[in-house]
Amino acid sequence: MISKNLVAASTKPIILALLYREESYGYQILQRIRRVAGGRLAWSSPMLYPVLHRLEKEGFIRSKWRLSEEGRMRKYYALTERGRKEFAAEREQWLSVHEALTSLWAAAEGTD
Amino acid sequence: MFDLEKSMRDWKKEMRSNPSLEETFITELEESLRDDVRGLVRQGISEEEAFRRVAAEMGRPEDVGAEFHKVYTRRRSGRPSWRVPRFFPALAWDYVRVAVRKIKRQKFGALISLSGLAVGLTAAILIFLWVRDELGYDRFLADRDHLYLLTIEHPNGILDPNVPYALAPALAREYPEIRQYSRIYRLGAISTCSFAYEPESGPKAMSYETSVCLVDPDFFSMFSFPFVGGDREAALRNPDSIVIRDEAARKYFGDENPVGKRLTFNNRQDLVVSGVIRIPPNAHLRPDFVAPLPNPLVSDWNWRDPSYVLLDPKTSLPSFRKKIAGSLNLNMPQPLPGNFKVGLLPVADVHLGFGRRTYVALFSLVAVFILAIACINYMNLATARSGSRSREVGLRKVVGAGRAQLIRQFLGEALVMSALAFGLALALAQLLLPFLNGLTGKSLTLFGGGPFVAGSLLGLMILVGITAGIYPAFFLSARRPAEALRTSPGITPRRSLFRILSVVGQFTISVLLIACTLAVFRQMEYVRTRPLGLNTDQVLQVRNNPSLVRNFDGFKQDLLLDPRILSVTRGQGAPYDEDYKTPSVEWDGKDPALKPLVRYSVTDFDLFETFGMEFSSGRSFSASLPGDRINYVINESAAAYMNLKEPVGARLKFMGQEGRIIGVVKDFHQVSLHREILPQVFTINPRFYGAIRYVFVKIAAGGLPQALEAVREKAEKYAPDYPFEAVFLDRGPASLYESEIRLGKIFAALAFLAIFISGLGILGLAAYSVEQRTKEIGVRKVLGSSVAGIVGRLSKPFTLWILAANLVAWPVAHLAMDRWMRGFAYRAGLGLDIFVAAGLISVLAAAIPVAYQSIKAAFSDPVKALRYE
Repeated sequence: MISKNLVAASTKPIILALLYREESYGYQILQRIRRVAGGRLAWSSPMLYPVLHRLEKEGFIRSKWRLSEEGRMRKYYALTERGRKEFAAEREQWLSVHEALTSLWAAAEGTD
Repeated sequence: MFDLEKSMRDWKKEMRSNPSLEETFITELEESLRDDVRGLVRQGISEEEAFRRVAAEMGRPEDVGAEFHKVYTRRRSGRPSWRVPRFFPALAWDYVRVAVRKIKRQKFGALISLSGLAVGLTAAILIFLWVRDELGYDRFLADRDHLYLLTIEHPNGILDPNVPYALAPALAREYPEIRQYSRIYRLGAISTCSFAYEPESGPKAMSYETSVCLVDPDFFSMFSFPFVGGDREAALRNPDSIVIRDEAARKYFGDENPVGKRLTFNNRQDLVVSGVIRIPPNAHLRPDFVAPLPNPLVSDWNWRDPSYVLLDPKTSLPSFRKKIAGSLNLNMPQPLPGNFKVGLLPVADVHLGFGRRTYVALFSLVAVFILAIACINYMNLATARSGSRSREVGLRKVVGAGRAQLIRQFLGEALVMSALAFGLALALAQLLLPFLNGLTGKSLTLFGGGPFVAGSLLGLMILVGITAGIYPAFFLSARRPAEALRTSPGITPRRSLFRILSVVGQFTISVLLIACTLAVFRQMEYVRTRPLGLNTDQVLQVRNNPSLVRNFDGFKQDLLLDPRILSVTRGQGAPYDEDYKTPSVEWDGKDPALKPLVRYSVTDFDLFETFGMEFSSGRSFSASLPGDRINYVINESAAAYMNLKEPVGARLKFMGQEGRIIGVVKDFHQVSLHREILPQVFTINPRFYGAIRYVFVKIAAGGLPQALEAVREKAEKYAPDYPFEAVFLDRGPASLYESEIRLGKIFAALAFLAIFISGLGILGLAAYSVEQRTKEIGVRKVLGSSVAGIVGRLSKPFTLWILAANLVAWPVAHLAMDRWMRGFAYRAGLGLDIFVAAGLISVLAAAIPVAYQSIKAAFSDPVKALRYE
């Protein structure tokens, strides 16, 4: 299980990454995360929606109501230009953390 | 049958109850919910079960709403705008207004609460200042962590701060753990020390000094007294050097710089001032003059003064203590009977180490007690008048106040009260501080203690506010609005258990303090009036000096020519004011296994006559028999101890000098009544005369001032080169009980405070109880009740409470005072009367306010009472 703090910190890059290729809606986002992380990332709907709203308020994503195939109104989210930049920046940050950790772990195991 | 659409509608309705959730948010969530349900149904779960699960996962509208609210609100706390805030700034003024209105309407109760708190706080502040000062002794010493006083634990458990002079050097030779040591040879305590300074111009300054110490060379590197002048390293290097305390220096040198100046000691030895030290106010060791020991004293096993050692910081203390514990008898040429254990006392503990700690603990406890009494008063009065505030509470709750908010309001009121009381207490403490300083000989100040004292006092204020306010706050805020609004004000649970217990507790403490005060006074009275076996009335104690020593015979003869002068003698001190012991005593038929430790007095002819001491057999020293110089007088205890059938005429060898016992004097109290009477030997052998400090002159009754003048004239005639200094011993041994008398006075003051505050509380409670029962009293009067009957009815509960308090307090007081009295070898004992008296005082303190209130009520016009409201 991934710790609560880490889950909270990673919501933003994960959502940005999921919406990078194509727009999506809440339920789909949850499903895709479940597929990718295989249940190790416990996301729930009451947690996801406020985060989506926050990202929209901050201008990284925008939403649009559209009719779904079932004939119901559904709110789709897509990345804005700012969101794309933020995606790159987040990626940069996470990669540098990842690199630092990888080399540290390699060093730690090497000394054994 | 489960209907998804209906469940969805219900769910949406529920969600709409939260103002944070806008309709579009709910629609979005609804879609998510539907997707989830579909997904689960596809997995083969029934629609009903799927909905239940997903809806549960979504959570309650408040929680979901709060999350959304946090996204959109600009408030940092994220608290939704429809929730009751913790604090309404707009209500603050209202709180103040209501509180002021209540105080105005119940001036009496508020005054009682306030004055109780103020008096309690005053006592607590003063005690706090004193305790802090007591606990802060010797903090200024740089090496305090490694500096120790050598102590000896006697076989009877008494801890002796004095050790033989030869002990410290012997230990230092044997144990490398001891880095440095210094004996403090208190020269001023055993012989006359006078100093004189002759300036190039102006009169000679000369005076006697008692705080004169001879020390080892390491003294000033062990004790870091600040040097105001001179050099610490070189201060004791020269045998003729002397270090002087700044206050003493002023007496001789005025504004001149003393360093390098010449001081003449006893008119025969010139010393050069090599340094001036300042002694911080709380140092336990306070020498005025410090000079190097002229003699190493390495084989002197006399036992009169303290010795200090500085240990290597790496020393393991427990094992070092074990090593030295038995070292006394190992080193002494003549081992002592029993197990005398050498010990180490950290220098910072010396001040409190000899019985004082108990007083510090005791007074701290009493301060807490008195504050508790004051807080209880506040609680009682606040809850007693809660009736008058129940409508306010009810109304506040109706318009939306939460319990927490009310608790904060009432706590706030208590804090404000405590702040007011604290202001009053500060003023009172400032007024009383000079008295406290006079009583304790300290120079405490309220504001000189720095941030720690200021912070602690502030903390105390807040603590008192919270302690006093917490119970009323919970009690008042707990009322249910419907009930609070329905019942008329003034009807409260009449005798809550809490109130009974708290009044009983208050009076228990008060009775305890009163009983202790009475016991201390009784013991002091006993000590004062007990026949001591000697009489100090009209005895003048004249400071001896080398010229008087030389011319003593002439001086004495000359004095006796005056008919007002009855007898003249001299000695180390008054018989009750000296404490010298020696193991060096041999007598005929002494059991060789017996290792005595015998008190002795070096004195002169006419000692027993001057102090009115009686003989049980034999005779006194006689000036007409020169052989008496090597003869001895012993006391009855010594005769019993030596097991002599025929003591008079028996041979006795004292410090190597053989002589005969010529008389047995009746036992007298040698030190204070704390200690039992010990075997004692009196000698008038000139061999021991170095230690004569005083001449004692017994004067006939009447005309004391003229007789004093006559003595002065003669003394100045025989010792023109020394100042004349004399005091009457009229207070006699009472001076030995200074600390107990002081204790008694302080206890009396505290007991008075306790009973005063408790009485105030009772007064307040009685007033409210009468107020509540106004109608009842009116009805009773109309139906023919007598005034006495009503007074009795009203005072009955209070009487019962006070009696209960006495029942609790008596055994506790008995236990405590019995222990205290055991500190005296001779004690007055604790009679029942002490407790009865304490009980009566407490009943009186409660009865006066209760009677006042009830009589007032009983005499009131029933018509008025019944029309009331």
